[in-house]
Amino acid sequence: MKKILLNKYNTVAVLSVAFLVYCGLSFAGFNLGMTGAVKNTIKILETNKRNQSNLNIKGNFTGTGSSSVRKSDAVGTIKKIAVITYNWFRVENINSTDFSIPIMTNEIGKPVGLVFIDDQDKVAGCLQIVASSTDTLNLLPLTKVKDGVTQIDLQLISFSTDTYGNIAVPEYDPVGADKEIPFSQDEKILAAKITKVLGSILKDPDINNNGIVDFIENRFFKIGFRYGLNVGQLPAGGTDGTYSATIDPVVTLNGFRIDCKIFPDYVNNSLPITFPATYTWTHGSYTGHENSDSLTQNFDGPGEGTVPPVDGEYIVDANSIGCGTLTFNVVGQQDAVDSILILAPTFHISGGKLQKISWVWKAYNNLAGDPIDGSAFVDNLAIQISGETSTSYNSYGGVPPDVGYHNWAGTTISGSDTEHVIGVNNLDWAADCHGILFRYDDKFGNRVNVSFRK
Amino acid sequence: MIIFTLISFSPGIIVFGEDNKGKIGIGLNYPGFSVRYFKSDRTAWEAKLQTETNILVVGARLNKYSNLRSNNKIQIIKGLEVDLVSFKGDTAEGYGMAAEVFLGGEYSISNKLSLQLDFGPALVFLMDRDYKDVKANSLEFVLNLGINWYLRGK
Repeated sequence: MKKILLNKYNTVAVLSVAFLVYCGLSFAGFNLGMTGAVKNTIKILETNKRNQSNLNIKGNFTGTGSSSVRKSDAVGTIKKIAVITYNWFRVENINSTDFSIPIMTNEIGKPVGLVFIDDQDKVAGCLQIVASSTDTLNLLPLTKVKDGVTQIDLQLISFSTDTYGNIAVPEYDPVGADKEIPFSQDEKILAAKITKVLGSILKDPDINNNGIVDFIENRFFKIGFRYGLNVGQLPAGGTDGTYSATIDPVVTLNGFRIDCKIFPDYVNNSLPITFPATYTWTHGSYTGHENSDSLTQNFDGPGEGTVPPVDGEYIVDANSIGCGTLTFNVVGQQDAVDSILILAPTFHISGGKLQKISWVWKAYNNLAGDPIDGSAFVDNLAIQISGETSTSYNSYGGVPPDVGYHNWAGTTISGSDTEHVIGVNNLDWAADCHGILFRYDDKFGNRVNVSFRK
Repeated sequence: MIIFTLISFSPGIIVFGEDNKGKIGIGLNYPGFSVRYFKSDRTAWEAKLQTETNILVVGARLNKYSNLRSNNKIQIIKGLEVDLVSFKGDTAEGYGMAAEVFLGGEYSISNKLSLQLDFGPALVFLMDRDYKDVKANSLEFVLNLGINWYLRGK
């Protein structure tokens, strides 16, 4: 009996000591379990992430009375925001009526779309700001951000719908000549027009039609168009002087290709693409992909076609890679074609040799308008000059067989550059310059080939 | 408090030390559970899982036991823990690792039940899934509290 009592006292004493140690260490800041330690480290990681970002986009939903109103017929709480650029995406969780999204280094300099997703994993809305009476902008063009701006506050976000899907309209529009994203009105409209195809995807991002937002399924299905244009004539030139190219009043389409990508995987797949029934002109039913180009997944389009793609449903059969049938409802295609940026080049010739090419960027549908700031729209530019039968010169140099017969080390040309000094001194204007191709990737994910012929 | 009261008045007759080899124990800890196996009388391997909202920690522990001379119902435990971590925070999602050196004690409450308390420094390393250059290292102090139930003794 005495032994049992001693045992009881021992047990109570030990447990009491343990309890006191537990309380003391808890009070001293020890984490309860390894998950507590992980929780602390997550906070540090998120602070690091925020610190690595030079820009935060913030806003709130508080004005709606609940966390948010999804649209007029349904109410949901915003739980996630998908951050989309033309070549990547990520999903951020949010736990309050305010949000603050760090824009990461690899997103700065690109247009960024925000898709708000509710607690039922449905799209509440895609960020949309008004560019003009007929155009809306669904991506914040962070290709040009005013120096010193570290935060863009969109303020109150309101949710509604338009013809193409669910939209999220911010109280504050940060895009404007004197705002954080200092686009002129012309540039803003231009950005709106050339991003309409991607905007239509973001408004209804269930491309595989399975009822779940693609981003939640860790998928981003994207479609785009690559255009080849005959823009005008090279000047006859002379021995010495400065000569400008002539831009045709009507640009001719050489051809186009559809470019379908599935992120984050499947970079090089060959997937059949079906055009809308309203596109009755000749086009390849399926032409495969270019393995040599890591940016390229699927191509389809008329090699010699002169009729631009039309709005409508482009259907990609992705069953072979387990992604089902992808239906892209493309809108604003004519706007995109009309708003293609083209170069207006000037050629500097000395002693019969081409010394330099300078240029300004123009919107094709507004050639008489002010030049466009190439740094806001153009990522990189390559110049290829043809002789009578073969390539005579590349701005990027290149390695065989992709070289001109006047080869050199090459250089890169960015959207902010306005001239290229020819890298060789024997490029004869009369003999070596029969055609010039300017190929650029814009900052909105489109590639354009602009050609001039003599 | 209920658990405390129950275990306080249960007879403590288990004796650690000489006949642990082959013993299997199931542990409930905050916030998870574990399974341990005594490879020898004084060495136990333990697999553990802890989870909280959007955090999962899976790991292994090496527990080295030694007796406290004044009380054979209490054993001192020292050991090492290594974990794999996955998490989803407010603005980051990713994975990582953790390692802890710990010291503590296990007190036998009955022939099958014991209470364990240990603590020690842990190094936690996390990485963002999408942005591999976003990382965090942290030295944290971890306190573990749990109850072990031994399925069989030898």
